[in-house]
Amino acid sequence: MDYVQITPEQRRSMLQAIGVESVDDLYANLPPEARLSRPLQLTGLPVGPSELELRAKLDQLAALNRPAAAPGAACFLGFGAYDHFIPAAVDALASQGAFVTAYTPYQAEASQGSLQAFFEFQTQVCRLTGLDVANASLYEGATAVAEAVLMALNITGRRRVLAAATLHPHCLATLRTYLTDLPAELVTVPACASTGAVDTEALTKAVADARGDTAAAVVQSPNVFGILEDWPALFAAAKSASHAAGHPQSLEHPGPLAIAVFNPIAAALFKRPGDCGADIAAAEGQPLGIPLQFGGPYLGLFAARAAFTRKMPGRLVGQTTDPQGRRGFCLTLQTREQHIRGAKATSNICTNQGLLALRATIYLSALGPAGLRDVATQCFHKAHHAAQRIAALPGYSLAYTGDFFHEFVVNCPCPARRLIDAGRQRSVFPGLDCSRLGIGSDRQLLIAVTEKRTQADIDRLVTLLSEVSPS
Amino acid sequence: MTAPNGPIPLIFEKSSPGSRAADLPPLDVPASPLPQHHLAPQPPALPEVGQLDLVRHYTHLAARNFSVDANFYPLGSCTMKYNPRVNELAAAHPGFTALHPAQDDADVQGALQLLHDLRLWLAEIAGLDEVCLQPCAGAHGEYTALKVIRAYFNDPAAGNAPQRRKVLAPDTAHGTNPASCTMCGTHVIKVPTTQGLVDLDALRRLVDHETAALMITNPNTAGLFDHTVTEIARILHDAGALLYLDGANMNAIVGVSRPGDFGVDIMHFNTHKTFSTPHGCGGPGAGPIAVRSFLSPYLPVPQVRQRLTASPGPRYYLDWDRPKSIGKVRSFFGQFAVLLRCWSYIAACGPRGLRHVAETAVLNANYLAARLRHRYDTPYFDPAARRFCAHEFITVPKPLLAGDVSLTDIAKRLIDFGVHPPTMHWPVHDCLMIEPTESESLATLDHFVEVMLTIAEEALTHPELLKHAPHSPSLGRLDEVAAARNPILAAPDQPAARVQPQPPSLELRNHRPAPPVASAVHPNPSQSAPVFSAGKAGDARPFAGPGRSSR
Repeated sequence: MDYVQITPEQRRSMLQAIGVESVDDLYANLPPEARLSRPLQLTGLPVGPSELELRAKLDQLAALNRPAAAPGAACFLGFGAYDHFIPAAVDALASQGAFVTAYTPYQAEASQGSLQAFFEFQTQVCRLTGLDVANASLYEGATAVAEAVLMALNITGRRRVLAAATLHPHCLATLRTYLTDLPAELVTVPACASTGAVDTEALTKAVADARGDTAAAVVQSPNVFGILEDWPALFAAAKSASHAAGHPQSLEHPGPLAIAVFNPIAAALFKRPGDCGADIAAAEGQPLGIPLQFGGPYLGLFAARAAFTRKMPGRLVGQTTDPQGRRGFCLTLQTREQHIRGAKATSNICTNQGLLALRATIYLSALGPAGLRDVATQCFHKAHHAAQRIAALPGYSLAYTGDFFHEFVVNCPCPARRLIDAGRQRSVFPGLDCSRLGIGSDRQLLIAVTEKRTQADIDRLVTLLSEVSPS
Repeated sequence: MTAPNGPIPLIFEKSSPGSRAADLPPLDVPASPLPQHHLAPQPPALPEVGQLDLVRHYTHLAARNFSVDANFYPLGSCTMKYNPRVNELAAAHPGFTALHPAQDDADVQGALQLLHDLRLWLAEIAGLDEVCLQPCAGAHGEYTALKVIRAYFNDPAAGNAPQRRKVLAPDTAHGTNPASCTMCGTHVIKVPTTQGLVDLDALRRLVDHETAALMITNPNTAGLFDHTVTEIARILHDAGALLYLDGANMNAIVGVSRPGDFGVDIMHFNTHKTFSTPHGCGGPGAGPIAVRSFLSPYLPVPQVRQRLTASPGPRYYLDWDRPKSIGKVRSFFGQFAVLLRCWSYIAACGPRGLRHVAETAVLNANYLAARLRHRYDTPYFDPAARRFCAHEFITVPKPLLAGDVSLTDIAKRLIDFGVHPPTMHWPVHDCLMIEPTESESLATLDHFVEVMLTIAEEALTHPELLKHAPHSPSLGRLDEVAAARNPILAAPDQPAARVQPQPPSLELRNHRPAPPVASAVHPNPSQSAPVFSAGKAGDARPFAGPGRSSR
């Protein structure tokens, strides 16, 4: 089924209206050597092109998967992608054709639905971050952080970027890619081996070493180990170290900028980036009503202080009026963007993640302040309950002493791999092997516990860990 | 159920303290002490609404959108084709949605097989050797590709020409092309075009030992096949540089012509344009890139691969061991649920269907151009001179703009007729770029022609109809200048008071004011087209146009 509606007879009459014999004539400009003279060879197609055959093939492929977040499975996997509860209304409302099949709202009067939803989204992100301005979303978390850093380089005119070593490794790796080939230098600031949090002294020293060239300090909290970083202390230290080195921060010299990488669920319970001295905040928005779906598409959240509005990447929706003074919304400040500025644009980004921003908007509106705080609080208590019980098992201990949110690293008496394999028969996904993630040893498990996990799920996890005999 | 007339209050303005649309079971484990110094005094000020009000709000907002499901959407260079429903079903399959991205390869064999299939299919469609599925969107694909090009030239064992930091792009290139170059630390040099085509002499002058690549779009942004493309490739290759293709316009040539066969070394696809993945109000898309084999060592990690049957381990795996890779360009490995829809579309079409799609896209565009050209100048389309367009065409309606009617007026008037305006002012000023796609029926195309001809007539006889368009009962033309001058980018922190939606007066409800359309002067365009849109005619059209006013 190729979904074409023109019939062969209509095709003939249309060719006649154009004044050609065949469709081939319309390709007259295509040089012969550029024409494909055989059918495409696509291997592994379904038996036939009908919808029934297609769906059978998709079912077949899906059956080869063992989804961690399937009903009945106990999923303790995190690492930046979390199995949260998604209210049915999110799927129902976000799957409306009028949202799914619309495009970027260039024509405001024909796109008020998307535009108002994005305006609501921007407002919600401002309130989650405690910052003044949020864009209508970026691709996903790691690129949002990279864009934040590019923005800081652009604003400060400085070159050095200090990134906490406790950033998600994909985020750090993406940042490294984005900074290669640019006049910029990435320096990682180590974490304290016992707390699992960034060392304030190390950050202070790194700022001093940069001798006034620090564009940004990037700190993720909760960090990749799940540990809450001390944003206020770290950001204050970065700024005062720069000040002490004779490079005070001012409107003309606004550096180093503090970039907070946050978790939007944790933002309902803990101090927000804007309350902790952050200038820019960026996050992976997947926890806000977006399924795990094998890593994408996800949602980049991005907010900043008002002073930096015109340096922001991505779409911005603004409020305006029609001739009768009625409120409406449109894309605005587009002179920042690639389709107007070309090489001088703040970013090459032309789209947002519209449908996912919409999901997040609906999710946040559905939960409300009390509901979101409930989600965050339950994550916290369930994770701590699980951590306490696991740490009480012989041979197990928590790897770090810092306060954590809903994810933690456990030292195991045997290879983590063995626990993961043993969980397979019981549909328990006990966590991730830290050595495979590049954040620890092969005897460490990274365990995430969301509000979806029940006491019974945690019992299954604890039983699994206690029954697998140490080597 | 229709939305009320007039502006819809913000969800924040519908907030009622204590309301909730979702709940959780009570906590079933003992509570632990919270770290007091990290705690926020109160949760963020999110809206508080009940479930029905939530559902109604976003249902009303949906009704304020034009969409492919409800409207003809001929937005040039965006390929607003039909988004098949089965693709949505596939993407919502719990066997895929519940997959965690860090699960073992052995647990995700179906997903990896699907990605592996797609990787081979896109390589075949491109006529190139290797594909990376990771980029999040077309612009991100461009960015990734430019990083790959840089890495290749920086590699002493391969390109060995680190001085190649110039990227050429036609002066009609998408704005993303130069913007992506800047992000990669390369300089962009514009290549002039004449008659919509790259000026070969200028290109020869500009290409040198510092040139890394030329970024072209073919069919190009003027909607034309550049018949000199193989010569362009030769000029680049002779100088040791590479040819990059922006795949935005692949819908015209899939199965008909392969970029690799006309000299392209590296390209990106836009799955949301060519392969029917929905545009979702502006995303998510996906921008896979395809490359010749000499560039494949530099592609981002990980790549999905198939093991030889004799080797141990799961059949499909993610290969992270790629020492020359540019590294990571995003978290995890791609817009999986988008790529899944892309797979589903290619699988449904098959080789014959894909070619049929491209041919029909070209047919539909040429048909519209042929029918409109007598009232809307088509500078690059002239059947008598055997000059045809690809899947889209430009019209520069100069005679209609002679008075004080602007291009925006024409565009906004289309909204009254339930048609999404075409792309405006791009790639040249005062032009409309029209791309009907292969999806539309002949009846829809004919209806569009009648609407366009009606508007052309109105521009000369009743210009005020255009100048005040759209004549929607809910909202008139918005002041975009004011929005930029005094940016209001979020609702105020403390809504001053709850804004009650203005209930429409009885008179308004019973008698929607007819837009000031001289329907007596011009026949109602919708009467001649029994079925207007691909969706349910009438009830899904957010703004009533003249077609609905005659109740």
